[in-house]
Amino acid sequence: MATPIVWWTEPWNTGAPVDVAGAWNVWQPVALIAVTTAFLIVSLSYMLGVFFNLDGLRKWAKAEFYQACASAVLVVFLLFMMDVMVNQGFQTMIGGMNPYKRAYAYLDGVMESLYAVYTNVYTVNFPLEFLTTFSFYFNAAGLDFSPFELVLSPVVEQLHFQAHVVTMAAITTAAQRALLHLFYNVGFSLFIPAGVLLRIFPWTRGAGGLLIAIGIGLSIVYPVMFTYVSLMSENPSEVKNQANQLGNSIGNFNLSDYGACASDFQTATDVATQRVLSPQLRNASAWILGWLSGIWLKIFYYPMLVLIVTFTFIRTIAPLLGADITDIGQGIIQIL
Amino acid sequence: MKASKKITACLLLVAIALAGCTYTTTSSGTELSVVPACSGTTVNPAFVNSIWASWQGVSLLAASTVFIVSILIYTLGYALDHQKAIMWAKNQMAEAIIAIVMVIVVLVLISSLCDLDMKSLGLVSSCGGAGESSCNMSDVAFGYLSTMYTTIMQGYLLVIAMNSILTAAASMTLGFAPGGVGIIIAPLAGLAQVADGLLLASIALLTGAIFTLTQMVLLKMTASLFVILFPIGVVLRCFGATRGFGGGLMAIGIGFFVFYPLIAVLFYGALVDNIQHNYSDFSTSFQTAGTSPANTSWFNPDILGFIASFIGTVIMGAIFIPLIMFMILIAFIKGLSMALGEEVDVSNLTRLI
Repeated sequence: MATPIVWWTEPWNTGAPVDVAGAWNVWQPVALIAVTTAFLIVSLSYMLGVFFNLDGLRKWAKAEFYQACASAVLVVFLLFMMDVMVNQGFQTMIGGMNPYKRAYAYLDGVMESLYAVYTNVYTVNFPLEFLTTFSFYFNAAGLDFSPFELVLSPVVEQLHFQAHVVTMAAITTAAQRALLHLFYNVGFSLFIPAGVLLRIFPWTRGAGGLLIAIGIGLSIVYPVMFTYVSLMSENPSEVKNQANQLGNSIGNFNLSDYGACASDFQTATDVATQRVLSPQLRNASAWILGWLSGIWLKIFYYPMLVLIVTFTFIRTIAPLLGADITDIGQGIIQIL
Repeated sequence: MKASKKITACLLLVAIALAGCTYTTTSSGTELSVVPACSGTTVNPAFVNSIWASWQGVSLLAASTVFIVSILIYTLGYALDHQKAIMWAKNQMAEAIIAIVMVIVVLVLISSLCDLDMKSLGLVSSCGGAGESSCNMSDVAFGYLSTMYTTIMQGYLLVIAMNSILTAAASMTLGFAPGGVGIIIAPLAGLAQVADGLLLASIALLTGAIFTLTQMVLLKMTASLFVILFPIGVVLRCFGATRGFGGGLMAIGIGFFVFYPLIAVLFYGALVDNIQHNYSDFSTSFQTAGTSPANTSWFNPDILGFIASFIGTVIMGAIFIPLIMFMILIAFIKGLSMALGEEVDVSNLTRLI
């Protein structure tokens, strides 16, 4: 465990590097003492069972002896696993890719794409929405006429919808990134050791086993699944290029281009319609809408797939670690 | 579900609903009085001297009654050579002893927990923050939640303020109509898009704040939940017919009082710094952008990034993490209830999630 921490000092982690080995130096003796205590309790129980001829106590002590052995094996296994993880052995196993690096790159790429789309939608929407409010006022006739509203309102509404979806997607992505970041920071240094400690005692075995399963699931399986998902996704820079195309389509904005200087309403409306429905803008807008349908794959479907695999892993491994989560598993499904 | 299980579930819910809800009348009206088990770094004298002292006698009386009845049954069984009666009596006497041992163990545990310094476990670096009167587990957990709630509300107020400014700017109209004929325009109407995003953000933040506040109330209530549920559980556990139910009550009391603050410290101790850091970035970005919608910083996509990062962390911490915490808590209660008497019907508790 005296090996240098490689994963945790990568440049993408802006916070202080997590001293996993240091944390384990505290937890390791505590876990070993707890295992020894468990063996002591088992031995005493067995002795009492023999002395008082209590068959039930003897059986319990035997069963707990196996569990104490399992706890000892688990502690050793986790220590070994930590060694493998911090030495990049796991990266080598999955093709030289750092799962966390890939997961962060995937989520950050999605976020950058979303920002690009949001900014360009905003850039396009701002003048169009301004034109929508442009109205002629005739006090004598009591008339208030907005010539561009009929044409532009549907476009503006569509752009608002796009911005709404992008905002929701950005928040969802940020929540996933925060979850990844939490377990990146403390999964190995806090949750798994605490789970190991709780698992040693029979009364807290279920909670400890579940904590270990959640720790392993969200610290290993979750980022690894993102690695595979990122391989299925396109380059985020393509999304930004297309989004910029939308913004450029309305570049050098000039009111006169939209018929503001026309001599009559018919001309003004025709010019505005022609401009708003220009092939460039229509193509870019259609692409954005298409991308918004695709965004569900990147923001909701793929991460949902990742979460399903992660929670299925947790449900599968938790009973092996001593947690009976038959009923609680329903809660896991409800989270999804 | 069997009728007996339904009755048990109903009794459990009634017990939880009534636990600790003692009202006192003051000059200013009626207020909720909660008696926590710990007071600072010591066991609360009110818990020991009033509540537990009363229940201690009842528990000992119940255990003694079970002993006497068991001795009578044992004697009768021996006289009538009825092996089943002898076995039953032996079992009841053993259970009565176990109940008393459990009480002693739990009381020692509470005493240890009250003066357990979280710093000594390396789980916190400093104590005495918001809502923390000492460094014990419950106070530290409450302090973390309180810090998180304060941060969320600061973010909420900031979002609401900026939303108001942007909405006002977006609705501003300019008119030019000499002689009654002219034009009306709303030059900043495009800011409505940003205002819509901020409205969405405010809803998410308020939801997160409510969830966090609920946890804070639950954390305070667990102390009173314990001092009521645990003694009732001890008494009920003395009798064979109510042993399972009593064990379940004890497990729920210990689970919420001991284990819930522990996992709150683990999860929120790891999360609060991140939330505060994200809030700092978020508020700084607003300061940079200023209150003028004409500032070009409003066109900076980082503003969306800071908002999304902060709210995403809040959603994860205030909504997703409690679900995980309750799953672990229920697993603990289930395991402990099996050891104390009878497994609690977890299918009912999972509906909490």
